[in-house]
Amino acid sequence: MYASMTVALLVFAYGVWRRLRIWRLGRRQVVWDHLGARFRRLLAALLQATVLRRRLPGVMHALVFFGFLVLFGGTLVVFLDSDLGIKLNHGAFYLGFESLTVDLFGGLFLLGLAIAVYRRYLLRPWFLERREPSDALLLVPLLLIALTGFALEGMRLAVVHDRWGGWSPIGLAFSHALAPLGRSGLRSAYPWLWAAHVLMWHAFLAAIPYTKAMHWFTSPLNIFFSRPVAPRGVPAPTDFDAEPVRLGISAPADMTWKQLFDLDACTECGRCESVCPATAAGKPLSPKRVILDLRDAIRAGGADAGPLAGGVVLPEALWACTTCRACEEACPVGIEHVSTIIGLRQNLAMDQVVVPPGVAETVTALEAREHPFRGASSGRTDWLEGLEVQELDAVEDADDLEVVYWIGCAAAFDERAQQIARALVRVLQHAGVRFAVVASKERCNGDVARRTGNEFHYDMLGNANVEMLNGAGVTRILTHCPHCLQQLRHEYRRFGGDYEVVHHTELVASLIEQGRVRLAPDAGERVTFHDPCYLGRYNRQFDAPRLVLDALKVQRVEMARSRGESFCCGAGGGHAFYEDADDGEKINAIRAREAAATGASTVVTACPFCLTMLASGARAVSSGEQSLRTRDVVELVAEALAD
Amino acid sequence: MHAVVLLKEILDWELPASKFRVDDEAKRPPLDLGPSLLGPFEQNALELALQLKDAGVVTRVTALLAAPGEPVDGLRKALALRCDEAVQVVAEGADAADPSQTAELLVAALRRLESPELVLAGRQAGDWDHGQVGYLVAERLGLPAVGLVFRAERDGDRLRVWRVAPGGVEQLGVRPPAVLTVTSDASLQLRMGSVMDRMAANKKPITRWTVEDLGLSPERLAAARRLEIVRTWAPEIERQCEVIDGDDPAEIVATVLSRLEELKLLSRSP
Repeated sequence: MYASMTVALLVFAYGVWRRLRIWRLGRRQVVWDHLGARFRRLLAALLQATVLRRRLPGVMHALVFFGFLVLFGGTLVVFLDSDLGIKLNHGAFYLGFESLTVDLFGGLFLLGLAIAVYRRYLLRPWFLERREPSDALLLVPLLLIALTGFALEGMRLAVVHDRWGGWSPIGLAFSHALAPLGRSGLRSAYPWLWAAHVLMWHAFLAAIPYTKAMHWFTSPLNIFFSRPVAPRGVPAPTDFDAEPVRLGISAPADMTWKQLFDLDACTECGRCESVCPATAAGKPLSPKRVILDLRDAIRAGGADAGPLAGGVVLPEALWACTTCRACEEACPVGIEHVSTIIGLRQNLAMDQVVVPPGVAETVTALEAREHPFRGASSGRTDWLEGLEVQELDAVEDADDLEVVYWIGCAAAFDERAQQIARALVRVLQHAGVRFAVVASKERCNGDVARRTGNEFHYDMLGNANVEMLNGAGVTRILTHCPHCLQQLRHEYRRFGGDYEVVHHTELVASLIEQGRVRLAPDAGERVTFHDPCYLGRYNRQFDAPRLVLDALKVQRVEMARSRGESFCCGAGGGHAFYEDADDGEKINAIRAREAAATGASTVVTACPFCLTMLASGARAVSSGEQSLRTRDVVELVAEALAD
Repeated sequence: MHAVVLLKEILDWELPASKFRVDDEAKRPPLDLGPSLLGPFEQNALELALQLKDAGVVTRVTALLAAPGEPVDGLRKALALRCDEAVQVVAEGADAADPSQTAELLVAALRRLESPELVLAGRQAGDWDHGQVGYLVAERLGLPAVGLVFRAERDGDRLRVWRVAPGGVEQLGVRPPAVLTVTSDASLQLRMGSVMDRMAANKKPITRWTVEDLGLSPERLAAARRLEIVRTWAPEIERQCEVIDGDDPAEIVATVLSRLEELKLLSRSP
C-alpha cells in the first residue's frame, strides 16, 4: 500500500511541478495585502457560501465537499489508529464519529455525486459544456471509491455481526444486500475489494494535478489571492519607460502569476458565461472560453504559447467585453477575467492596432480634444449657462468648499446628461452646499482609453488631470458619473491623486438624512433601479440610490437581476463609443425588457451612460403606448424638492 | 517611388458654433480659439500615401507642411504613422490663407526634396476651403494633376486613379510624376498607429527649412501673394422657437404642416 502511495505522490508532485512551472512564467503581483479580508473570503468560500449562491449546484458541491472532508477524516483516523498506533478508534468517538458521522456523510457524498451526475448528464444547463472524458474521469472514480468503501463496511458488518452495526446505517444496508454472498465468499473477496478501493484512491490522487480535481487546491488559493477589496477589474499598469516596453498581454510572460493561476483555478462551472451580457446578446465572447482557451494554449505551448491576444483569443471576443465584472462576481473561485481581457486588449490596441473603427475614432478624438465625444455640438461649459455656479478657477481657497463637483465629459457634451448636472446643481443649491465646478479645466478621466486598452492615452489624461487637481488643492470631489468615480477614487492614486470622492447618490442620501434636502414628493410612482456596474460591482454602492428613492416615497421594485447581479446596460468598457463588429442582440434592449417586466413606469439609474443606453433600449422594446421613462436618481430628487 | 504629402493644420472643425468668433482686425478667427489639428482632407491624403506604401507602390513618404511657429500635431502624427521624413517650411511672414503664397513655399521645398514623383494634397484645407494649392503646385512644377482622388493603384508604369465625378466615379491613368488631390472616403480614414511607433516618432527629427533656406527672398514671397481678404464674419444664427400644443396628434401634424407651408419651408405636391 505504501509503495503505491509513494508512486501516487510522486506522480502528483510531478503534476504540481508542471503547473508551478507555468505560474512561475508570470510577472510579480502583490497578494499579501488586506490579509483580514482575504481570510474572510477564504473562510466564506470554504463554508460554501459562494457556491451556494446557486441552489442546485451549490447544494451538490456542499454535499460532496463536506462529505469528502469527513470521509477523508475517517480515513485519516484509521491511518493514525492502525498505522501510527495512536489509538483513537474506540468508545464514543468510534461510534459517534468513525461509524455514524462518517457513514452519514458518506451517504451525503454519494447524494452529492448523484446530483452532479443528474445535473451534468440529464439536466444539462446550457453553460455547462460537456468535456469528456475529463468530466467522467472526475465523477466515476469518486463514485466507485465511495461505493467500494460502503461495500467494504457492509462486508465487515456481515462477517463479524457487529452489534454496534446500527451506528453505520448505510453500511448496514450494504451488509444486508451483500449477505447472500455468504461469509466465506465475503471473507475471500474482502482483501481484493480493499486493494481495489485503495488503488483507485491512489490513482485518483495521482491524477489530481492533471484533471479538474486540481481545483481542490487551486480554487481556495485563488480565492485567497484574488483582490478582496476595491479597486477590482483594473488592468496592470504599463511601464512606458521600461526597455523593452511590454504592451499588454501577448505571451504568458506578459501575464502576472495570478492571472496564470486563475487559469488553473477554473472548474468550468460556466457561471461567468451564464451571467455575461455579451454572451447573452449572442456576441462572440464567453468569459469561460477566454480562460479555458488561454489555459489550454499555455498548457500546450508553455512560455512560447501565443500570440494570446488576437490569436488564442479572437479580437471580436475581446472587443465584446463591457468590463461589467458580472463574470467575476459570479465566479465561485475568484477568477479575475476583466484585467486579463483588458491586458489582451492593450496588446491589440497599442501594439497590433487591431481595434474597432469606433475605438480608433475615440482615441483620435481624445488626443485632439481631450474628450471622447465626436462631433460635440456644445462646449465644455455651455451647460452652466443661466446657473449661478462658481468655477474652481475663481475660488480663492479650495478648503472652504465642501466639495468640488467634477462634471465629466458626458454632462459636458451630451445634452441629455446635462440635465443630470443641472438637476444636481439645483439640489446642491437647495441644500446650501458650498461647491465649485471644475468645468473648463477638466479632461476626460481616461476610463474609455484605459478600458479599450489604450493605456498610453490613459496615462497622459490621468497625469494631466491629477496635476491640475493637485495644483488647485482639491481634496474632496463629487461626481455623478460612476466611471469618473472609479478613476478619481481609485485609479488616480497611481498618478499621485489621493482624493475623497463621493458619488452624487451618496452625497444626496446623506444630505437627505441630515435634513438639508427637504422633499415634498408625489407618492406612488412605480420605479425600478438599475445598478450601474461601476457604482455597484466596482464600488459596492448598492444602498445609497435606494435610500434616496425610498425617501422619495416611490414604489420601488427590483428587477430579476439587481445589486451585485445587475445586468450591464451595454455601455461599459468603451462600448458607449463603439459598436461590435458582429452586433447580435442589443444588451441595452435586454436590460430595458427586464426593467419593463417589473411593471415600473420609470427605470432610474445613476450613471449618464446607463441612462443613454436604457433610454435607447426602452425605445427599442416599447410597444406603442407603454413606454418606459428613464431618469437619473437626482432628477427625481430635483423634481421633488420642497420650496 | 518617393511620395510627398502636403499637410496643413487647421482650427478644430468641431469647435462649437457658440465658441466661434472672428478677429475683425485680422479678418480671421483668432489662433487661441481651439486646438490646431491636422485637417481632415490632409488626413485622407496621408492615409492614401501610407496605403500606397503598404502596397509597395511608394517606397518613401515625406510629410511636408508650411506653417509658422512649431506645429505639433500633423508632422508628429505623420512620423508616428511611419512616414519616413517630416519637413516643415517655417513660413514666417506668409499668409496661410493665401493659396498662391502657400504654393510658392511648398514648390520651393518640393524642388529641394529629392525627386518626389508623387505629390498628394487634400482636396482643400478644411478652414478656408479654397481647394487651389494642389493645382497651383502642379502648375508651377509643370506636372499633371488629378483632383478628388480616393483610390490609386499601380498600373504598369502608370497609376490608375479613381476620382469622384459628377454622378459617379471616373477612372484615369496618370504617369508620374504627378499631383493628386485627395477627397474623403470611408477607406481613407486615417489609421491609428502603434504605441511603439508613436514613442519612436518622438525621437525622430523634424527637418525645418526657413524661407531663406529655400532661397526665397521676402520680395519674391510678397509677390506671390494673390489674396486679399476684404471682410470675414461669422454668420448670425437666430433661433425662434414655436411650441405647437394640442391633444390630437392628427391635428398637431396638420398645424405643423400648414406652419411649414406658411414659412415656405415645405410645399405640398398638387
